[in-house]
Formats: sequence, C-alpha cells, structure tokens
Amino acid sequence: MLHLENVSKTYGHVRALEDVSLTVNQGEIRGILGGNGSGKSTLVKIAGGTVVPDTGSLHIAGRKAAIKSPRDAKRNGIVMTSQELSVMPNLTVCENLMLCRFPVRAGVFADRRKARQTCREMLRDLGLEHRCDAAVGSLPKNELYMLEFGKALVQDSDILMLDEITSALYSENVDIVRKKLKEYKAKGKTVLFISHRMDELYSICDSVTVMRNGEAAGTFGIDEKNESELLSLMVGGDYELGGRIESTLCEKGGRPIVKADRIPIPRYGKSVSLEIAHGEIIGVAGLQGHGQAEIVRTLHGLLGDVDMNVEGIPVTIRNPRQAVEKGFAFISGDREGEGVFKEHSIADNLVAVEDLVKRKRPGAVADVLAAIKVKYANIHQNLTSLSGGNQQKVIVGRWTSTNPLLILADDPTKGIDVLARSELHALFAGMTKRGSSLVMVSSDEQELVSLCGHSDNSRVIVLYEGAIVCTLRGADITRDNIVAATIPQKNGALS
Amino acid sequence: MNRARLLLGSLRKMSAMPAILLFFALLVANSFIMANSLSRSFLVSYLNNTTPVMCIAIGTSVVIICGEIDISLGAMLSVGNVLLIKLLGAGVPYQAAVVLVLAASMAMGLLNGFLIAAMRGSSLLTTFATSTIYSGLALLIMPVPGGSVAREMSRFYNGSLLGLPAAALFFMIPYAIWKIYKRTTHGMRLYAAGYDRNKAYVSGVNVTGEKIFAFVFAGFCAGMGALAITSSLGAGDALIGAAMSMMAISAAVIGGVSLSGGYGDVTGSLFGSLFLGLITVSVLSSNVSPFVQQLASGLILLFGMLGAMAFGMKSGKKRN
Repeated sequence: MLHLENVSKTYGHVRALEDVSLTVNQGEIRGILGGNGSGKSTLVKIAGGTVVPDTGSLHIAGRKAAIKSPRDAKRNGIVMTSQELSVMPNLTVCENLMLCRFPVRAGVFADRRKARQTCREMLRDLGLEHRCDAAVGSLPKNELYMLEFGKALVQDSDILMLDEITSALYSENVDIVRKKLKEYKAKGKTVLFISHRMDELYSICDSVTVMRNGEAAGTFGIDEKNESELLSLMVGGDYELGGRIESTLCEKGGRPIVKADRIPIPRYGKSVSLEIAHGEIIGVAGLQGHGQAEIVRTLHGLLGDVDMNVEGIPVTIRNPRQAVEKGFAFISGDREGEGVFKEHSIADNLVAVEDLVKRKRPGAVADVLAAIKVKYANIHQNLTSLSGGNQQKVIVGRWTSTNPLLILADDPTKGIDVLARSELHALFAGMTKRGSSLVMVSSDEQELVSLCGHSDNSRVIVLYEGAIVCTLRGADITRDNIVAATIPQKNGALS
Repeated sequence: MNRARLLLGSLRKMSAMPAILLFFALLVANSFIMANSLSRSFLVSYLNNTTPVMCIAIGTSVVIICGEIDISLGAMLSVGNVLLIKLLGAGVPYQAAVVLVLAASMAMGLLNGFLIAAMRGSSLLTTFATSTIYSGLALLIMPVPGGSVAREMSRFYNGSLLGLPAAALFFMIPYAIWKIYKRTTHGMRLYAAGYDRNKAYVSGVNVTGEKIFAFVFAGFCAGMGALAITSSLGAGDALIGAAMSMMAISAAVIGGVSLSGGYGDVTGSLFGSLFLGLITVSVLSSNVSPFVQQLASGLILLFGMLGAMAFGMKSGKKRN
C-alpha cells in the first residue's frame, strides 16, 4: 500500500535518514520503534509531506506519488498527526477537529451544523463529549493529544500516521486509541504508529520496524521478537531490560527540606499535604487530572500563592521567580509551551536560568552537554534542530547545572525514547544522591517504577480526586500496585 | 437575572466590546462639551470624515488576523486618490475611473502579498518599502494638490441611502465581503494561518493563498478608502493618506485584534476607528489651544486604552 524506496535526508551535517526502504501493506498496523534522532519522525514527515527527502521515492498502491506538501499528501490519502500538535487555541474545538475536511454547503460556505454533528460523534467516540464547547486553550495536555488524534481520524484517509500520539495519554485514553485503530484497520486502512511504549506496540501493532541511526534495522511480525530483542536491535547491542535495583522496604526519610501543608487542588476543593525529605524521590501517579500536575505546579508558584516551610523557614511563594530563588527547578513535559526558547541556540537554552534568572556566570556549556549525553553538532545551532528527546535533555541540563534544592517535574520524559528516558532517570538519581530532592509526575506508571528503583529513599504517591489515596515504598512500588491504586474500587475502599 | 448575567458574560467575551464601550463613552462625554454633538448633521459629517480610516482599518485588521502587518495602506490610499483625480481630469468617465482605481489598489496589495506570502519577506519591512514606493508614486502622479471630482460622486457621498448616510456604503462593502469570506471554510483557515503558519500548513491549509487574499483584500479596502476620501474632499493630495496606516493599525488593536495574529474581528476595528476619529473631532472643537491639542488627544487615547485593558482583565483570564 505504502512503499518508500531508498529515502535519504540530511539536515545540515546531521544525517537523519540513510537509504531507508519501507513497505506497509493494506490493513496493517505497523509500529515504528527507535531512539530519539533515529529518524522515525523524519520518515513519517516525508510521507506526510512536511519534509522533502534529498533522494528516494514514494509509492502508493503501486503508483509513484510526488508529495511536496501536506496538501499533496492528503490528496494522496495520507494523513499524519504531528508531535508538536496542530490544534490551535484561537479556533473552537469543532473548527480544530474538522479543519482539514470542513463540510461545505452551497459549494463554499462552512456548514457548521453538519460539522458540529460529526464533531460531536467523534468526540463521543474519543470520550471527550463534555468538551464540545470548551475553549481549546483550557484543555489538559492529554485531551489536546486526543483532539489531534480525532482531527486525523476524521479525515478518514487510506493511510494514517501517528507520531507519538500516545506520549501524553493516560491508559484509559490509550484504550480508546487502540479501539479506534482496530476499527480503522478493519476498514482495510493502513496505520503507521510511532510510540516509545512497548506495551502499546505489542497490543496495537501487527508488525514493527526498528529504526537505528537513520537506518531501518529490520521489520518483524510483532510476535517474532520479545521486548529485549527489540530494544537490543534499537540500540545495536545487548540490552537488559529491568535494570532496577531491588530495594527493601524502608522508612528512612531523612531531614525534611520542604514541607507544604496545604497544596490546594481547586478542581476538587481539597488540599494535599506533602513533606519532602533531603535527597528523596517522590513519584506522583494517578488517573488524568486528579491533581498530580497541580502539586508540582503549585509548589513552583505557577498557580498562585502557596505557603510552605523550606529548610525550616516559613515562606510564601507567589511566582516561579521566587521558587527559583529558593532553589526549585521546574521541568515540564510541554517542551513547546514551557521548555524551549525557539529560534535560540543550544547554548542559550542551556544557560537560560543561570544567566537570566540567577545572574550567575554559566559553566562550560560543552561539559554540561557531554554529561547529559546530548547529540549535537555545534552549541550555536538552533535548539529546535535537535530531536525532541535531545531538546528535553538540554532543558533538564538547564536546571541540573543550577544545583537545585528541589526538582519539580511534570511528565518530563514525554516523547522521549526508552534509552534517553533511562539516562534521564539516572541523571535525576545522580542529582538526588548529591542532595537534590525530586517530585516527578508521570502518566506512565512503569516509568515511576524504574525511576524509584534508582534509590532507596523513594516513594510513589497516588492521587485520586485531589487526595493522596496511597503511598508506596520500596518493593511495593510495582506497576500493578500503582495501577490498582489509581483505579477506584467499586466499594470505595482503597488499599 | 441569570439570563442577564449570561448575556453580560458573552458580551464581555466579545473582542470588540472594549472598543464599542470606549466609543459610546466618548460620544456621551462629548455631548457635554459640544451642544450639537448628538445632532444628525454633526454625526453625518463626522462619519463622512472617518469613513476612509474605517475602510483601511478593515483591510489592516484582516492582514493582522492573518499574522502579518501592512503599513502601506495609507500610501495606497494616496495613490488611489491622486489617480482618481487625474483620470477624471483626463476625461475618463467616473464609473471607469472607479474600477481602475480599485484594480490598481488590488494590484498594489497583490504585490505586497506576493513579496510576503510567496517570497517570505518580512511583512513590516516589505510594506515599509512598498509604502515608500507607493508614496513616491503618488507624488509622481500629482506633485501639487489640486483637481476636482465628478459632481455625481461627491453628491452621492454626501447624500443618503435608504435613510442612512451614503458614506457608510464605502466601508460596508468591504465589511460585508469579509463577513461572507469568514463564513466560508476559508475564514477559519485564515485564522489558523494567522495563529501559527506551521500548524496551519501541516493541517493542509494553503497558507500562502490565505495571506495573498488578505493583502489583496487590504488593497481593495484602501481603494474603497481612496474613493471615499476623494468624494469627500473633491481634490487630490499625494500626502493625504500618510498618517492613516498607523491610525488604522491602532484602531484594529483597540478593536481587539491581536497583533500576534489569529484573534479578533473587524467589527471592533470599525469602532476603534470611530473612537479615534471622535478624539480628533472633540479636541478640535473644544476650543483648546492648538498647541495642546495633540497632547490632549494622546491623553484621551491613553486613558481609553487603560480603561479597555481593565475591562479586558475583568472578563477573565485572557487566553494567551
């Protein structure tokens, strides 16, 4: 159905794709797995018309297709979602969803009634029917991703390409995506599915292509390879899964550095109390929007005034500036909105906090970049020329170099591959060893398990409707336990 | 009670609301200073004078909504003005002259659009350059102000149509064209292109096409403005539009059009222009010393702006 032949693409000095050929059959859901910068996104962007390859050709249903723009791609029946999302806050939910295929009446006029009807049906399928009249700017991250998914789905193309659409989704959203994709496949359509989450590849895809350093390392039926085999192919060597240090149940605690008695969760009219110990790792889990993000955002002064005790001294933090002065760091998974300074160099981005906020002379940029293992050509190149994962590493590097007292992270590894993710975890763990504390929200339970595995001094708190319903420590921190705690029991009793 | 609150809430959300309130507040304030300021004859002559700026403000707003800026519309209006007078002076029938002026204005808009949308020129620099070119062109066509307009035109402009001042027709035509355009699927695409060209592009929006439309439409608006001002003054002056570009942009911003693109609508810009026009009229007619007039207009504008901002803030958290 879709056939890419000998495609190559170079950005400046960086070779993104080298002589890649790929064939996907009709009615197949093909997973694409690869590290950051391995060329996955470039591959789908070429088919989607946003990137023009240097060499190579593209064939659809046996016919050569010239695709030079997203409009060409759509004419040829190819639709893709973008990692950066293409939904816009100045349009309504309905306009966003239907933008690419807005129904018309009398030949030219926008048929809003019909659009609304289709929109309502699609939103109901996606579990977002309550958002029909919402302002797009007010939607949480995961719903924006669902909207992006719906926007692609509604175009009913022959070939659908999803670039990390699940990276910010919670498991109940992923279930919906899975169901919709199976329906799509049943209609004889073709899907390319990029994800860093192995369980999704196994439960959604029929086959998987592994990418490594801009080359296709092989395509396999999904049952042919197990997880470690795929990861080994991805990194080009042996990879042992589950490098978690078994930790024993412990109640070490240590001296508290931040104590906040009232962190308000306005949506539920409740508040949470949190005591963070020196060098501690606290993972925050829960279903979407049960107050996880509010905890880290409030502590960083992003949601109004908050009273707390920092190293025994009572303080009120009113804005992020004061939080940074107290030694807090905030790492957001929303790279575009709260991470990168677009159109600025890697170096500028790395030293932003030290240079602009702390008014200190920043340390050597190259050393920091080497320590956090960023792949780059030149520190003066534009940050956005790096892959998403490498961009995020630079953002993390920005804060690590300030030696923060407390790191607040809101889903910081969103859209980052398994390897870079574990490198980031190691980086965080190393910082907690040196005395920083970490509070990290994640939509991926497995991630919290492996993060907490790095340190004895760690716990996972699970939120439900704005309250901490469960605290797990040591060997109790398992994916099953976390998931069990996030899902409300029928009789209301939570362990 | 509840319904009234709902209505108030949705009125506050309207981006045009601050400009509408500012205009009416100043109109009322003005009636205390000037005895006849609510009389029909005053309002008609004030509308006649403000119409050219309103035309340009419509064009400029659409360009800003589309994520660009056009500071050459005043110069285009000057070209249209002197061209019309020259054509009429050369004995061209006024109907043909009107068509030619509109065509020339749209051609100038097309040049802007081509340079910016297709060649990816910076809109500020490009229209600054073309603005200088168009001003030069106007001076070349008519170095010394003068000439006269067809009697039919000035009679029509100062007359009335269905009981309303006929001048209103000049801005109502572009206003109606925009409102129709907005109801097609292109309307939302233009807003999308203005908010973020890349997001719009990957959504399959013809960004270049939308931007070219915006500039050509702005040219058309400048042409309508030229027809209005020529009919109103009855003469040609190559410098007539010089100050209007900035005034139209201010009117758009007062009217709730966001300079970053993608937000707002032209209705607010119309009231913004009316507000700015009224400031000038009030100050001129209030017997203030000519040396203080400019200062006074500036102060009224500043206080009006602060009031509008306070209003905007009250209406809830602004969407970024």
